[in-house]
Amino acid sequence: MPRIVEDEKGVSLLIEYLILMGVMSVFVVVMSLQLHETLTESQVSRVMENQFADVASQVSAIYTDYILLMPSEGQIVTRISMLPEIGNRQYNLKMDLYENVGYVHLSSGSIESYMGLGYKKFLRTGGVIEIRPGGEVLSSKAESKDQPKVVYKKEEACPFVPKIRVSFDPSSVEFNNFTNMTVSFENEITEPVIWRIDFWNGSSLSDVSYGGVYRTQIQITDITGCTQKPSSSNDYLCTVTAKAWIHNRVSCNSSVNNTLLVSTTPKLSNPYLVYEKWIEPNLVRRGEPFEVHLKLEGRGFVVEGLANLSVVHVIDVSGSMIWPTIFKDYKKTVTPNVISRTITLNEKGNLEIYAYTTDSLPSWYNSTLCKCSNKCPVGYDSSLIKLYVNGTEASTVYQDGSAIGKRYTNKNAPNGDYTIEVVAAAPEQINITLKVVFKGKEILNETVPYSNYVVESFTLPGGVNYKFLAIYNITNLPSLSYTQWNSSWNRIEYYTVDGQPRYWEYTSRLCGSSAFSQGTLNVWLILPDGSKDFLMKGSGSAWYQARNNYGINGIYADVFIVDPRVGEYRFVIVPISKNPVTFQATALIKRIDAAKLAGITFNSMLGEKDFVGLTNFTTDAQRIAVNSSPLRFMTTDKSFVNNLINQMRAELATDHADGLYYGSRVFPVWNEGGNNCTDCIKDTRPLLIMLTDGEPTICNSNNDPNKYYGCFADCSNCTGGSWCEPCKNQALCIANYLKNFKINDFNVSICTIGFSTDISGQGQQFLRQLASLRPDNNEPCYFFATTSDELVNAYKTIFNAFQIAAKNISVQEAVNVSIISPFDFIDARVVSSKGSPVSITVESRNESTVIRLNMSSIQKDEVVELILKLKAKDEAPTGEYDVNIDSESYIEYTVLDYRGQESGRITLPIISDKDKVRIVTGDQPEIIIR
Amino acid sequence: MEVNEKGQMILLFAAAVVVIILSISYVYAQNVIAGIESSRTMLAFPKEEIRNLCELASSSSTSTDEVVRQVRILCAKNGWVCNYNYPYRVEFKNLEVEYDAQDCRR
Amino acid sequence: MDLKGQTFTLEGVAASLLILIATYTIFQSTVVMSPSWSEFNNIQLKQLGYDILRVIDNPEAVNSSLRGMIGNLSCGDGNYYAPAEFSQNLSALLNALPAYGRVELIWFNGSSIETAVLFNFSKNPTPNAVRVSRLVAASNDNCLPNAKIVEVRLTLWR
Repeated sequence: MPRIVEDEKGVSLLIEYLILMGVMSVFVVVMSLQLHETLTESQVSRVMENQFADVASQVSAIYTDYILLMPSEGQIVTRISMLPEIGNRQYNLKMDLYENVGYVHLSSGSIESYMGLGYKKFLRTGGVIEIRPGGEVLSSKAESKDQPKVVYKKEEACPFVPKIRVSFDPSSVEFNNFTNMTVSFENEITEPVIWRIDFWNGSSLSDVSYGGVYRTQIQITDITGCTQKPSSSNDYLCTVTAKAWIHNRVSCNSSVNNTLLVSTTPKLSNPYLVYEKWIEPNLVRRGEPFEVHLKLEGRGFVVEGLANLSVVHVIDVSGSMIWPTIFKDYKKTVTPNVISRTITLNEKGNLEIYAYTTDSLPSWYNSTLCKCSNKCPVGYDSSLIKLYVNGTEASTVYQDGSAIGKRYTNKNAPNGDYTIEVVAAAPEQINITLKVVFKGKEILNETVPYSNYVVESFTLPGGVNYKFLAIYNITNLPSLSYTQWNSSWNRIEYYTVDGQPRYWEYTSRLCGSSAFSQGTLNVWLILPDGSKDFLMKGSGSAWYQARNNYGINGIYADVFIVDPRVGEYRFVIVPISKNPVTFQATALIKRIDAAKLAGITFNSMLGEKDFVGLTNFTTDAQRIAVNSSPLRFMTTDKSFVNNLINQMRAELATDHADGLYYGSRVFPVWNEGGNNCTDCIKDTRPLLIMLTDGEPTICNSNNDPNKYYGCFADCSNCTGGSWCEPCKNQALCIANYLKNFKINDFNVSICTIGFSTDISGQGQQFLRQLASLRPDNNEPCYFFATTSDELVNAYKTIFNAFQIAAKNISVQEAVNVSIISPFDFIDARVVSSKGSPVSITVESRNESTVIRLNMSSIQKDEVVELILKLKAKDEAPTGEYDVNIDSESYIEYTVLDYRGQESGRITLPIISDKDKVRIVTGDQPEIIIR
Repeated sequence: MEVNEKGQMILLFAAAVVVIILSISYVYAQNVIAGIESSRTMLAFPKEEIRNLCELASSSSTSTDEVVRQVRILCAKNGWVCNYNYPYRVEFKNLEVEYDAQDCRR
Repeated sequence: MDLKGQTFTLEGVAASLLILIATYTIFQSTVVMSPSWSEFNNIQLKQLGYDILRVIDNPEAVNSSLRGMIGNLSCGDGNYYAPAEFSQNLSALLNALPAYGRVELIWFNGSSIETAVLFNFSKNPTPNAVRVSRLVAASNDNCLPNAKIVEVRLTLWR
C-alpha cells in the first residue's frame, strides 16, 4: 500500500514549524501589547506629574502677579495654556481654600497634585483684604473656543445708595391746576448726590443735594405722554421718574416712580389704584441685606370729586349724658432708679456710710403744695432719701448744714462685701453724694447726678368747654389721716329741664388733726399753665367727691378740676423706695363733653364743600338752625356748628325714632317751607351719624301715615325709665325708609355709635340693625365706644369709610427666594399711612417665596407700602439678578366709579424694570478659574 | 530555491521592539515639553507694563489726550491694546491677559 | 530533527529581550531636563532689566533720570548722545550685573513710529537676549520731534 505522506521528516518539520510559529506569534502579539501598556503607564504617570507641576506653577505665577497688581476696582483675565489631554487622559484643574490657605489642585484618576498659594488674607494700607480663590475647569476646555482662564475681580460696593423719594401734594390734580412736588431722601447723605426728575412729557429737572428737601410748585398744563384711562377718557395717569446717584459714582444709584392722576373733569373722575415697585440698594455685597418695596397708593379727588358729604349729627342729649365717662386710663409699673455700689472690707473696723444731698427742690416740696399746709414735712427732708446696706434699710437721719440724708454706722463692721443702695425721691435731677468712711479714712466719696421720675401725660383737646376733669383710682399716694368730708358742697353746674333741676356739685376733705403718712409714690400733676398739684389721699381714700342729681353716678377723685383748661396735663411719678411700684390712674369727663369732642373732631376732618347739620334728641328731637332759608339746617361753616355743639346739655329720656326722623328732616329735600333747596346740597352724599348712650325708653305714638314716614307706634306703655319696644320698632321702620330713599342719587347712609357700658346686648343689636352698610367693607356702620378715645376713633373710621379708592384689594408678590436662589428671606412688613389693617402672609415654595396682602379698602390718599427685607447669600456668585417673578405677581381689586359704586374686579400684573439687584464682590476680591 | 529563514525571528522581534519604542517616544516627547508653560507665563505676564500705565494715569499732566494717543500707538506696535484715563483708570490687553480696572491702585 | 532552527529562534528571542530590557532601563533612568531651568536665567535678567529702568527713572535726579536723559538728548548725523551722567550710571549698572545692554528710544512723530539708538549702547544683541521697556512722559523737540511720550527699550544679554 503506498504511503499518503511520502517524506515524514518534511511533514514533521512543517508541523513543528507551524506550531512553533503559531505559538511565537501569539506570544509576540500578547507580549507587545502588554509591554506597551506597562511601559506607557509608568511613563504617563511621570509625564502627568510634570505637566501638573507645570500647570500648577503657571497658575501660581498668575496668582502671584494678581496679588502684586490687585487693582482696587477692576478685572484681570489671563489665559491658561494647558494640554487638553496628557497621554490620552483628561484631568481636572481646581483652585480652592483649605483652612484659610489657598491651593491649586490637579487631578486625573488616581494621580493628584497640590500646590499651595499662601494664606488668604493680606495686609494693605487700607486694611486687611481677604481673597477668595475658587473655580474649576476640565482640561478638555482647552480645545473649546472658550479657553480656561484665571479671573481676578473686585468691584467696589457703594458707601451708601441714596434712597430718593418724590411725592406730590395733592396727588390727584385737575388739569391746569397746581401741585406741590417734594424731592427728599430717606437715608442720610454723606456725599453730594445728583438727582434728576424726568416728567411724562420729556422735560426734566435736576440738581445736586447735600441731604436737604427740595420743594417746588408745578402747574399741570401738558399731558402728552400720560396714559389715558379707557374707562374714563378724562382721566390721565402721569408718571414721573426720579433718579439719584452719588457724584462720580454712577453705579451707586436708585430710581423711583410716582404717578399723578390728572383729570379734566374731577367730578366725573373715577378713583384709581397705582403701584410702584423698586429695590434699594440695587448694588450689594455678598451677605448684605437689601429691601424690595411695593407701594400701593389710592388716587382720587376728595374735594372736587363726588365724595363730598352732607352730614347730620344726631346726638343723644338724654339725662344720662350728664354722667362721667373715661377719658384716659393708665397702668404701669414704675421701676426706681437705684444707685448701687459694692465695697469690700479686708478687716474689721468702724464703718460709716453717708448718703445725702444738698439740693432741696423747693418748687416740688413746699408747704403750699401740701393739702393741709402745716401737716406735711417742710421742704425736702431726710425721709425722701433711703439708704440700704446689704438689703436692710438704714434709718438714721444725717444732717449737716444743708446736707440731708441717711447714714449707717457700725463700729465693729465685719470684713466682707457690702452692697450699698441709695434711692431718693427726685422729681428733677439732684446730686447725691455717697461717702464711705472706714476706720477714719475715706474709701469712697462719689457725687452722682441722679433723678428718679417717670412722666405720663395726656392732652385735653381744644374746642370744648369741659365742665370738669376728675382723676381717680390712683394708689400708693401719701395720705393725711383724720380728714373729714366738708359738708358744704360747691355747685359747678345748674340748669332746669322741663322744670326739673340738673346739677353737678363737689366737695373735698377738711384738714383737722390730720397726720401725714408717706406712701410709696409721690405724684405731681402739672397743669397746662405750669402749676403743680401734689396728689394726696385723705384718710386713705379720695380727697374729692363729686355728684350729680340724675342718678347715683358720683365720683371719688384724687384730682378734681372745674372748668379745666385745654392743653397738656403731665403726671410726674416718683417712687420712694427701691421696690417697683404700680402707678394707675383714670381720667373722667362728662359723657356729653366727650360727645362734643368727638363731633368737633369729625367736623375738623371735613372739607370745605362738605355740609354739616345738627339735631339733638332726648324725649323729643330738635333740629338746630345753623343757616338761613332756604337751607336752614345745614351749612359749610363748621365753626358755627362746633359752637352750637358746645352748648348742648343733658336733659331727659331717649327717643331714637324721633331723633332719626328729625335728623333726616334736616336735609332740605322734603318740600318744607323755609328748608326747601335740594340744589343747595347737590353732588353730596347724605350721611346721618347717630350717637347715643342708652336704649330707647320713650316714643311719640303715631297713626298718621303722613308723619314719621308712615311708621305707626303705640307708646302708651313707655314711661321713659326702661326699654320701650314700640320705640325700637318705630326707629327701625324710619331707618328702613331712609336707607331706601335717594338724595342726589345716593341712598341715605346711617351710622350709629353706642357710647357707654349701659347699653345691653339688646340695645347694641338694635343699633346695629339701624345702621346701613359701610362702603369700605360692607359691614354695618355701627361702633361701640366706652372711652373718649374710642369715640373719636369711631368718628374717624366713619369719615375714612367714605374716602375709598378701591375695595377688596389682594396683592400677590412672588420673589426669587429659595434654597437654590442667591437670596435669603429676612423679613416682610406692611405699613399703611392711615393705619388701616393689612393682613400679610408669607409662603415659601420650592422655587420662590410668595407674599400675600389683603385689605378691605384703600383710601384716595392712602399709601400702603410692603417692604421685603432680603439678603444676598454669602456664597452667591456675583452678577445681576431678577428678584421679582413677574408671571406670578399681581394686584387684584374691586374698582369703584366716580359715585363710589362697585364696577367690577380687575387684575393688574406687577411689572417693574427696577427689580434687579447686582451682587458685587465688595471688599473681598475673588480669583477664580473659569 | 532555498528559503533562508535565518532572520525571521530576529526581524519579528525587532519589529515588535521598534513599535514599542515608537509608542514610548510619543510619551517621552510630551515629557520633554513639560515645564515650558510656567516659565513662559513668568516671562510673558505684563506686570511692569500695567504698573507703568497706572503711574501715568495717576497724574493729570501725563493723562492728556495727546499723550494717551501716543501711548496707544506705541503699545500697538508691541502688539498690545492699552488705554488709560485720569484718575487711575487703566485698560491693557494682549494675547493672554486682559486687564480692566476702574481704580488700578492697590 | 534539525535543532538549528530552534536554537536560532531562541537566540533571536534572547537578543530581542536584551534589547528591550536595555531600552527600558535607559528610558527609566532618564533625567527630565525641564526647559524651565534653562529659562530661569532669562526671567531673572528680565526682572533685573525692569528694575534698572525703574531705578534710573528717579524724578529727583534731573540729569540722569530717564526724563532728564530724554530732555537733554543731543543728536547729530543720525546719532543720538545721552548726557554723560546717564551713560556713566547705566554703564556702571550693567557692569555690575554683568550684562550687555542696548538702549533704544521709540516715539511717534505724528505720522509714523521712529526708533533711535543711544550711541554708547548700540551693540547688537544675541538671540537669547531679553527686552524690557518703559514709557516715559518726556519730550525733546529738537531730537525727537512731536514726541510727548517715549518708550525706552533696554535689551539685555549675557
